[in-house]
Amino acid sequence: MKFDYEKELRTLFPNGETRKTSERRYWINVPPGELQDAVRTLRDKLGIVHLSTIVGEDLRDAFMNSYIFSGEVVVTISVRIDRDKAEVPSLAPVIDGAMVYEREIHDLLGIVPVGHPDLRRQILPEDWPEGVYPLRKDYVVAQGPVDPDKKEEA
Amino acid sequence: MAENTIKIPVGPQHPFLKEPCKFEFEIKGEEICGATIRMGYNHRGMEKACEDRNYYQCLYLLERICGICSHSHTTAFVQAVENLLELEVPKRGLYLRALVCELERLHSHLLWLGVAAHEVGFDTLFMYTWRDRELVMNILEEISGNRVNYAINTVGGVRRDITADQRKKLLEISTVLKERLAYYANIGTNEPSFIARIQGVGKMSRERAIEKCAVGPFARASNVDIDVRRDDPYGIYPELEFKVITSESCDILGRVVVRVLEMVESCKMIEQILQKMPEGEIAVQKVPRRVPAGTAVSRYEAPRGEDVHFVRSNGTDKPERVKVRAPTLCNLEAAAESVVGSYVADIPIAIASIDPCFSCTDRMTVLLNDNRRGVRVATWEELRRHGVDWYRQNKGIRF
Repeated sequence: MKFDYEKELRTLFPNGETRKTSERRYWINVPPGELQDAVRTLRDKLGIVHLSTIVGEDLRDAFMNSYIFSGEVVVTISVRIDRDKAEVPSLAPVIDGAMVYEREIHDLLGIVPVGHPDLRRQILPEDWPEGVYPLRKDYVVAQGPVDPDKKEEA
Repeated sequence: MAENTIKIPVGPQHPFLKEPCKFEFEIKGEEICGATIRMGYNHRGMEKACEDRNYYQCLYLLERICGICSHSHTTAFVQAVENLLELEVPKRGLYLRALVCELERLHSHLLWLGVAAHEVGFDTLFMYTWRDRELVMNILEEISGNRVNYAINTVGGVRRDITADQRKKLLEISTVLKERLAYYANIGTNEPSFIARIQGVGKMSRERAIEKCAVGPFARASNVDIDVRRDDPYGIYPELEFKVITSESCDILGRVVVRVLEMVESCKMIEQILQKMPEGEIAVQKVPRRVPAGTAVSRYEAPRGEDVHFVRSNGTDKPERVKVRAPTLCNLEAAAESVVGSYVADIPIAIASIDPCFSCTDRMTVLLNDNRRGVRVATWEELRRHGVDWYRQNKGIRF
């Protein structure tokens, strides 16, 4: 019989609100403080070690980091982060490959991975102003896409 | 900084780099003892730009992330959107997608093999592989109308079908390539001057590759058995038979072997695709413009490894968030680590061995004569003829 990931995830993360979004895609929610333990559980109990990426999002009322782990199935661990205190424990001590994604999110959204050994800029140029995060929803790009069919207003 | 070491900055602009990226190598004599990377010189803000565009505009924007694996990014994106829309894509559409995907893998790996050969000074192999790559490029151009950025994907299927003539050509190319690939596999593993430059260079252990979350041929050459096509099958891959190639050598030689054998698998897959492709529609006729709120994670095995797209929709015709993770990002740090212990002269091939994604330029497009505009378009052959005649008459050069 095929391994029942949904049931197993519900047992391992009783407060995780496990849900299956489509075939082989599972989501669980954990509070920031339990993130590292959740990743260790995933690694030790289910053998899922490959971190595909981390998605940082601005939900307007909060930030959300989603850690996408892939193995036989894709398990996404999402963490809601307070907007006023944009901090989340770093995964660097657990997974080496997480560092590069955490730096990217730190650059673009200003979410600080606490405990990250190297938070130099990765994407934005050196002369980019401090404290301006382009991927936040309140950052407005000066000019949006140009519609070639639209006539210029006189 | 350790004693008696010096730092050499390489990049962002440097002759050996094909795209801007800055490396800082710490060397002691000829030996490399440390490497750091600074990326971001090519950052174009596409994820932010997607939030201002509708799904179709995003599709054509994301096609332009990369000139070589453009089909990978659009497929990963449309898969996510189709998942959110709960669309059932017609079988023939999926087969055509996989066909272009495997052709893209062929041309990308052939390009890489040429670059790798060039980086170690084996330019004969470079000429051979790029000649063969033209076979693939030409058929891609014929199928899609473009050499790069094929624009064949659309939400709900593909935009063009193949003809019986193209099908015949594809089978011919596959036969030719399989023969040539056997020859390259032989050279790659037997030619002493080539082996001397790549064996034992750029070592990356299996354990470190897993810790660094490396992907694609780079990880498979370190004996990490991952391939999205098999592990998380999408499209029609469950219906195809193929082997996932791995190597235990953990060095650049392994990466050459893995890529060459993967191309053989791709040729076999193309033959299976052409054989099994059913008749019918190639795309869903009516696709809703508004996408219901939700999230989707889409994975795709690009030539360089796992490509991940994350899409959050909000019920409008524009996505709330699009996140793209291209395979080079997770391999680059690992590549920098793999050069430690090698010599300065090995830097170009060690960095090239992960196949960092650099743009490939477009060339002349085949246009049909369009007399309506009062303009005559010369064909490639006419232009060549004109050039030959001109030099013969005006310069007295005999060809």
